[in-house]
Formats: sequence, structure tokens, C-alpha cells
Amino acid sequence: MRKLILADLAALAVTLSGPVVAADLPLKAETPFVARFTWSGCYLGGHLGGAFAHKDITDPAQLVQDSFLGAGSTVGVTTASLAPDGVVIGGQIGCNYQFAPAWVVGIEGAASGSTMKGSTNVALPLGNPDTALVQAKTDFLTSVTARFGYVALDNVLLFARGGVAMAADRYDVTGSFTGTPFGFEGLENRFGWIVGGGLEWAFSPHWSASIEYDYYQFGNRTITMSDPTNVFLGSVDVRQNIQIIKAGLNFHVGANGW
Amino acid sequence: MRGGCGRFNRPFGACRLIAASICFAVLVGCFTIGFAPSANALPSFARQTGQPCGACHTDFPALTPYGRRFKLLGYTAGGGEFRTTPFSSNTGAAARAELDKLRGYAKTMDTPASSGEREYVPPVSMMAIVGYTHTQAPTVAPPTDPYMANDNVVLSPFSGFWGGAITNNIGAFAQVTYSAPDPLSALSGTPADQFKHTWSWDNADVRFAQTASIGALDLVYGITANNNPTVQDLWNTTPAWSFPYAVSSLAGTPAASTMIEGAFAARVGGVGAYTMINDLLYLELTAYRTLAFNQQNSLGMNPFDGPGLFGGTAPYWRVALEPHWGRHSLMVGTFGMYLDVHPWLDPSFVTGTTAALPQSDKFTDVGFDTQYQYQGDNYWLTLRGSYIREFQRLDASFGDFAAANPTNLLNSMKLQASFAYGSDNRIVFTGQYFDIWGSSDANLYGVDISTGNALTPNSNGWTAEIAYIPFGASKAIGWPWFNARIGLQYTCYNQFNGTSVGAHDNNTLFLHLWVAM
Repeated sequence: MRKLILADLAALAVTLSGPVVAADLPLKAETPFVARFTWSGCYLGGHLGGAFAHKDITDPAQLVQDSFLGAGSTVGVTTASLAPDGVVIGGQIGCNYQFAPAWVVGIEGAASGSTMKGSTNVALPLGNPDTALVQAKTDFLTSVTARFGYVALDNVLLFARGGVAMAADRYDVTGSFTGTPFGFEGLENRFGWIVGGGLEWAFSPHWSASIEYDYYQFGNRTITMSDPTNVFLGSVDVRQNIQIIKAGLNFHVGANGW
Repeated sequence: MRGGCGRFNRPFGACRLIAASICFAVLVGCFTIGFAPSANALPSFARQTGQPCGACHTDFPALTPYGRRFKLLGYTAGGGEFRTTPFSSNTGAAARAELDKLRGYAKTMDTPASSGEREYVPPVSMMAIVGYTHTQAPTVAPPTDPYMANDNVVLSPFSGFWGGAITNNIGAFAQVTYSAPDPLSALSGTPADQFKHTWSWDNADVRFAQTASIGALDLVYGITANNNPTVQDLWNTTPAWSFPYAVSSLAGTPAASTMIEGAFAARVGGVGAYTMINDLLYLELTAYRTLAFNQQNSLGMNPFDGPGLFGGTAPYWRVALEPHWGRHSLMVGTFGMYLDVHPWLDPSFVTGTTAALPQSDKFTDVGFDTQYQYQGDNYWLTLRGSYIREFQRLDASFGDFAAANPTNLLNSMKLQASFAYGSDNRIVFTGQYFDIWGSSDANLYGVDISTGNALTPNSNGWTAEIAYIPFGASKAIGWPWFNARIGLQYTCYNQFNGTSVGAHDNNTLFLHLWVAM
């Protein structure tokens, strides 16, 4: 019934508008922008978004207790699960090639600074009631990906991308154990893979805006942790993934008149 | 588009007198000492291309768009009154000249006469920098011989170059440099001092370049063989050719720098492939290996002044997108390198070994850079920015107690603005903010005496420079055989090697005369 009403309204609108007369037409019809845009060429731009990570860190309690009391002192396994989140802001450079005629293939390099961080407390049973504050930060993300897209409308590209990624992480385990302060720190550059997708809208001959979702998987790695003050050295295992939703703005060159 | 090489009014005529006075004052006291190796606007390039220096340089050695294409094409573009190469056929040179014409980077490109009618002059040049250094507090520690504790006037470096074409497709930039010896206080007093040299090879970049068209793609592609990562780069945002272009080696400079910022300059050999696609997208991949101890020593480099030896091949990558429209040119890019470095086992050479540690330190350097350049009627405006992030996995240094942490971070950032006014009698104003920061590490950077805390590598501050270049755009007196640059540079430190206490003591005034012939 609702569809019928809408159809009737549309027919009425056409009737009331009357015939188009020559005087109403422009002398020369402007070529619509959508007909001019081609995705072939290169682009550079920036992006801003939100990032949400999940990290399982095993075993910070053993790291602390075995450092103070000797290897094998800790019984059982403690895994600290953290959910760091924050903002990502960065830039991207890429090139596209459009063919057949609505398909697009390309390559993109992207890098972001990030404020992602999270923390949690874990109990240290052998120093009861001591606890350790476990903190995780990711301050840099970069990726090189292939992009595949389909021009759904003349100026809207639906795309998927996948490739290699790197995250720069920092871990801190701090607190005091039976009255002695400790501060472990570990840094890493971790490589993994990324898949994602989104849509990009070209709103002028050289500019496009995009919205995109990316999933990063960095697997499980061992991180070396050191406490220079107490001259302790140990390790924790970290499993992590990151999800990002971001909006981007690109400037296109190499096509559309360049 | 104007090539920046026309003759303009000379509103700074009085500056010539001032500059001449400064020049005289500097020359009066010219003696010997070392500066960091610096770069060049070579008269041999001017002889080859027929272009005045200002066609390629906004400043020495900062490049214009045309200068970048000249380098991209392997230093082989001709057009001058002298034959381009000892072996050239006219066809290749003319084709490249035509390519440059079409791209509009050269204001004029004289039609070359037949090669046989022109004289061949080998593309050799020489360069010298004479400078006066004053630091806020004396920075040459006793014993200062052969210098004074402060206010030194010295001549260094003195360099000889091959700069230009070898064949139609192969060209080279190769430098041999004399650097004056260090003050006595800089000697270690160990047997390793025997490997210090005054003459050494310096920046070298031998290139093969060719052009091609594949479908819609217009390519310039080539091969580079060089000895310093980023020396082959086209933009002055990467370390080898970044500002400041001349510095005093007598003044204190921050101790920490990333590996790609010259740690292996002239200690490596690398071969790579590059291409510029549609005059827009630059791609390069180069592989480097360190020279062996004896090779470095034979070439005049003290091996123990370097970090050590690579465990394998170190890859270097570069991607840059350079859109340009009208008089505007923008570049956004990334570069980086991965290095697996085995530190020297005994840098003092007390045990007589030149071996390296079996364990290695791993460095991942990732850099981002950008440049905007605008050519006005009588000026160039250039804005540059670069950021390098180095992740250090110090398995060897941590195990050897040279580092207190198994992993560290080191960052380096530069933000710069340069305004080059005038064509001949060009005045160049440059300002740069620099910042180095990273992880604290007691073994690498020491301990704060007052707090007992581990120091960081942090240093930051400003450098301002005013330079006068008498011959920029016209084929003036001395062209194409001579050029000069006079610079007055001041560097101010807010933080120096992890502390702000006494940082200003390192503030440096550096007045220098740079001549090339």
C-alpha cells in the first residue's frame, strides 16, 4: 500500500512539473562530474579513526616473581587480557588502475600514529597482597596492501584490501614486590597481516573521501622485558589483534587532467 | 614555467660589499680542520648542461625540480658548450635534452652542436669550505692542539669530484675529501687511533639511466651504485643531503642519530634500481653491504668510527609521490632501511683484532618526508619536513653491556623553511627546528649526575642560516668554472644529549665561505 502511494506521488509530481521547454535548457549541458572521473592514477591523503585492540599477555606474574625469587618459583599461569583503544591519525599513498571498465586494482602504503593504550592489574601471589600494573601501548601502525575495487556508481568505489602490517608496541610491568620497586619495559616492532574494506567517494575531479574498516592480526610473539634498575631480564608472550574504523581524505593525481 | 635562471634586479647589491668583507675576513685566517662532508653545486655540471647553478639549486645543494630530473637522468643531460661525454653520440644527448624541454624544467636548453665540434673537458671539480666557529662555551677539550679551545678558523673539507656524464646513459658523482685531523683530545689514546685518516673517499653515486614508454606509462628508470644510503635521493629531506649543508666539526653536535643518518656513509656499497613513473611516482629499492675492515681502511675511513659490520644485506626502500602544478611542487614520501649490525669486538684495537661480535643488533629505520616548493618570479620558497623512527633490538650491545636495555627507540624530526630571494646575488634564509628523542639508557647515554637517572638521547633546538650566493641564475663572471656561497649559521640547543643543563653551552655560530671550481 505504501509503495502504491509513493508511486502515485511520483506520477503526480511528473504531471505537475509540465513538459520541459527549450528555454529551460542550458545552452550546453555540463558534462556531469561522475562521467569524468577515473580511478586510474595515484593519490595521497590522510585519515583519522578509532582503534580497538585485544591483547593477551602471558605471564606477567611469573616475570616478576621469578625475577625476584628465581626461575620456577611461580606455579600456574596468569594471562592478563587488555583492551587498549585510542585514536589513529596518519596518511596514505597509493596508486590505482581501472580496467574492464569498472574494476580497480591498486597498491597502498599507509602509516598511522596511535594513542592506543590499556592497562590492568595482576596479582602477585608470592608477594601477597602485591600487584603488578600491566600496561600496553601501540603508538605506530603501518601497512602495505593490495587493493581491489569495483566502481559501483560512477564515483563510488567499493574496495577490499589486504597485505602486510607492522605495529610498534610498548609494554610496561610496574609495581613493588615485597617492598622493592620494579619496572619492566619491553619494546617491539611486530609484523602481521591486515584485511579490510570500505567505500571511497570521489566528490570532485581530484578529491575523494573514504570510510574503511581494517582488521590486523599479529599472532603470538615473545617479548623481551628488562628492568635496568634491578638488572632483571625476562619475557612475556603477547597475542594481539587490532580493529580500526577510519575516515580518509585523498587527493588524486595522475588522472583526470593531470 | 620559469626556470629560476633569468637575470633580475639586484635589490641586495649592498650585500655584495658585506659579503666580500666577510669573505676577506674569513680568508685572512684560513687554516685547517674538519667539517662534516658536505655537498655540491658543481661547476662541472654547469659546463655539461649549459645551465647556471640556479637552474638546479635553490641553495647549495638544495635541488630545484630541474635539478632533481638531472640527477634522476643519471647526471647525463647535456646542452652545454662542452661535449657531454668522451664517447657520446649526439642522438642520446639531444633526446634527453628534448625530454627536459618538454617537461619544462629548464628555461633554456641550447640545441647541442654536433659532438665532434665541441671540446671535451673532463667533468672534474674541486670544493673547499673555510669557516669560523664560535661556541657559547669552549667545546674543544684540552689538549686542544692544533686548535684553540674556541674561536677557530679552519679550512675543511677540501674535496675533488668527478661530476657528470661518462657515457650517454651513465653518469657519476664521486667525491674524494681531505678532512683536517681531530684535536688531540679527540684521540682515544688506544691503538685504534692508527686508523684515523685525513684523506678518504666521500659520497659516490654512479648511475645508469634510461627512458621508456610502456602504454600509458612514461618511465625514467635506472640503476644506482652508491656508498651512502640516501645519497642517491632526489629530495633534500633525506639525511645525506639535508640541512644544514655545512657544519663545523669543532662544535658539539648531538651524540645520538639514527643509523640511516650517516652512520654507514662511505662504509657500505650498494646497488639498486629506481624508476620515476609518469613524472609523478618515484620508486627505489637498493641493497647495501658493508665494506670489510681493510677495504674501509684503504679508502680512508676509520672502521672503528663506524658501528660495525652488516651480517648480511641491508635493504633500503624509497617511495615518493611528487605532484606538480604550475609553479608548485609537492612531495610526500617514505623511506627506510633494515640493518643487521655486528658491533666491533674490540674498538680500541688493544687486542689487535678486527673481528666483530657474533651477535648482532637489529635496526629498523622508517622515515616519512614531505616537501613543498614554489617558484616565484624572483624567489624560491621551500618547506620541508622529515621524521625517522628507529627501532633498535640490541641483542649484541645488551649482551656486551654497551646498552642497558635489550630494545630502544630513537626518533629524529626536522621541520624546515627556506626562502631563496633573488637570482644573482641570491640571499637564502633558512630556519630549521630539530628534535631527537628516544628511550633512556644508562649504558648508551650515561647517567644524570644530579638525579642518578639514566639519560635519554634527547636533543632539540633551532638552526638559522643566512647565505649569500653571488652567482645563481646568470652565466656571470666565472661561469661555468667557479661558484661560491657565504653562510652565517647559528644553532641553538634547548636540550643537548638528554639534559637541558648546559645545553646552551653548545650554541654555535658558524661563519663559512664555500667555494667550488
